[in-house]
Amino acid sequence: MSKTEFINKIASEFETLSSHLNGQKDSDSYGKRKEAIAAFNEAGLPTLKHEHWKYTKLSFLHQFDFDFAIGGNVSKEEVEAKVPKFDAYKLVFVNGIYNASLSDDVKVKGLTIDNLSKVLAKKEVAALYSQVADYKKNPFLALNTAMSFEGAYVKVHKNTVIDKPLHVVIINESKEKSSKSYFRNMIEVGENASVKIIETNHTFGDNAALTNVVSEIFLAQNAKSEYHKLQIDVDNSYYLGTVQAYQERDSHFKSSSISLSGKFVRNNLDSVLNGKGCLTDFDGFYYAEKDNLVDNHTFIDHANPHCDSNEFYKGIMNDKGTAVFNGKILVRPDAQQTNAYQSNKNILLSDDATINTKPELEIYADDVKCSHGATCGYLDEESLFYLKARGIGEKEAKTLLLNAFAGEVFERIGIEDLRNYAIELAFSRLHF
Amino acid sequence: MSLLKIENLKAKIEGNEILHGLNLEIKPGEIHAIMGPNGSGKSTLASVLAGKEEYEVTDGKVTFDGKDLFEMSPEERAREGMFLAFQYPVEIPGVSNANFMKTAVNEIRKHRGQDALDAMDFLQLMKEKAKYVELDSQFLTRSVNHGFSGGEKKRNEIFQMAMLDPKLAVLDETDSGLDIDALRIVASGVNKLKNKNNSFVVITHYQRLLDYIVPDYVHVLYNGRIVKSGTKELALELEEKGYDWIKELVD
Repeated sequence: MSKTEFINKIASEFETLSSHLNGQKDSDSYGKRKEAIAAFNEAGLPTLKHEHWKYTKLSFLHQFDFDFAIGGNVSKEEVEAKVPKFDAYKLVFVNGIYNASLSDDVKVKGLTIDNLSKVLAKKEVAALYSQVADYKKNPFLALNTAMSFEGAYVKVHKNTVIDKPLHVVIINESKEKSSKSYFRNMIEVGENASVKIIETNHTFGDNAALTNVVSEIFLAQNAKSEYHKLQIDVDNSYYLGTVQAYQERDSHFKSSSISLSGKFVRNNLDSVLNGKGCLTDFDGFYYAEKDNLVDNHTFIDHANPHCDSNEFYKGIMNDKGTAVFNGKILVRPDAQQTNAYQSNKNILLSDDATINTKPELEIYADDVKCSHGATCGYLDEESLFYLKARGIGEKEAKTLLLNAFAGEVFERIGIEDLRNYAIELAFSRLHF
Repeated sequence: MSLLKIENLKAKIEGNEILHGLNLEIKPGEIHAIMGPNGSGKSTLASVLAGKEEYEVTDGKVTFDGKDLFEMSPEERAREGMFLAFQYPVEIPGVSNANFMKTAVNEIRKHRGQDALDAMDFLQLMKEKAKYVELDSQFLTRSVNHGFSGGEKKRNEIFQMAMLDPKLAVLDETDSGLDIDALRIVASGVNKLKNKNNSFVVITHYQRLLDYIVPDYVHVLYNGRIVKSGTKELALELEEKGYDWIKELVD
């Protein structure tokens, strides 16, 4: 399929979707869809000439048909077998549609959980929807805005602390044919409220599956929210995701992006610090083996004074694996007393592996502390020798050192069973 | 039979020959001290014995417990009972001392045809050996040497030695940079481990360590060769007179 055919196919899929939206065509949300598809058509697919897609080949988009899928065929047994179990409230979405029978029935005081498509008709929800996730910035965010149907709507009411994390399970079913599906989540965290979210995505089926997930998170004053992604998908999976946070005064947003497998992973993670005293933590670990690609693009917008941000990403590349890290920090003129710290460390295990790392700091305030550092190299020979000199063999020594390297990211994950799961799974991948 | 026999050992690093034909023989149960001025080749000898890749052996032969040392990889040497206490122990963030030692002890046990220790026995052993060098049990969960003081790092070396129970331990300037308390702890650890079957090579600049670890033999290494050997009185003489008279003797 050529690029034009891909774009034409999207256009016809949008027509089909529109025909199913009878009665909604006058709504604000449909207006937004139309704007978004127009923005996508105008931008077209990014090429390597686009600054933010410079190292990220999208040729797979033309390689497969990726039929627009709404709903899929998934059994409870499959979910049991393939989706990690956490002590969490589980919300399951299959090919863009909420699946109530696979999900937990969550009844927690101060917590509203619904299907986004149901609540979008409400004025206050519609007013927030897509307000900060600017689809003009990213064509795949535009596509999601135009095409997504359902997703998790989470509202944590003022002063409420949710006892357990919410586990949003994104399933792309591609058993009969290759599929593409869109998921859209929206999370509102009220004043002094707190919630943790885990997102995992899974391809069920042997055909190529393209998953596009967007989550918008609004943190009110002094709210706290964590958003953790655990990406452990199969070799025929292609993932494009955006997390857009919007932080009011004194709020704390913490995110981790743990990518251990999957053919293609692109994570866009942005936060706007819209009040004083905000804290933002972005952690990430990626492992790219075979000919997989993992791309993390982050953006922290220090729009106000007295805010702190910490970014801590580490990666290991093996075989012909490729990883991209692009960390942009913008400190606006008003954002005095900003502390922004960024670190990206990489280990290459083979001569054919690639890392492209780029810190991007734009600082317009003068009274700030900003630091960044990026390293890439091979395993430390001194450490390796030290372990060998104690009788530990080459392979075992490598395993120990690589897991220790990754472990520094995992130990920052505040959800115990998620952390342990990540550590064990990484160990099985980073085992020589 | 000798435990270690070094014959006419020549080694170089980055094209410079450092050891110019070194001979040394060590029997089980002996403590040998090797002293010498800076640049005489002391640390090179330790590194060559442990199998550091940067050093190229150009001539000579080393037999360890009846086997050709240079036929063995660094990990095989360790499993056969060779131990190097590093002059500058490496910091390894993220690997706990417990995990490190568990892996090492079990690899060595496997080599000896023994079963892996279970978690309880292992913890017991760790706690017991940590006491040798007065390290508290908190240290077991800390990352290897990460954020350790100089003294803690050296004590950790001796602790590891106690855990691995080697036939031959080479202490590469373990006393450098230690205050007298730390020196006493390190030396007493060594003395507790010493028995009639194992041997020690103590490489040092300073005679003071030898007040605590009493050597059977003292050798002076100069210009890549052992130029003088004697008993512990030689160390006292070196302390008093320095190395100039040795240099004159040789040159």
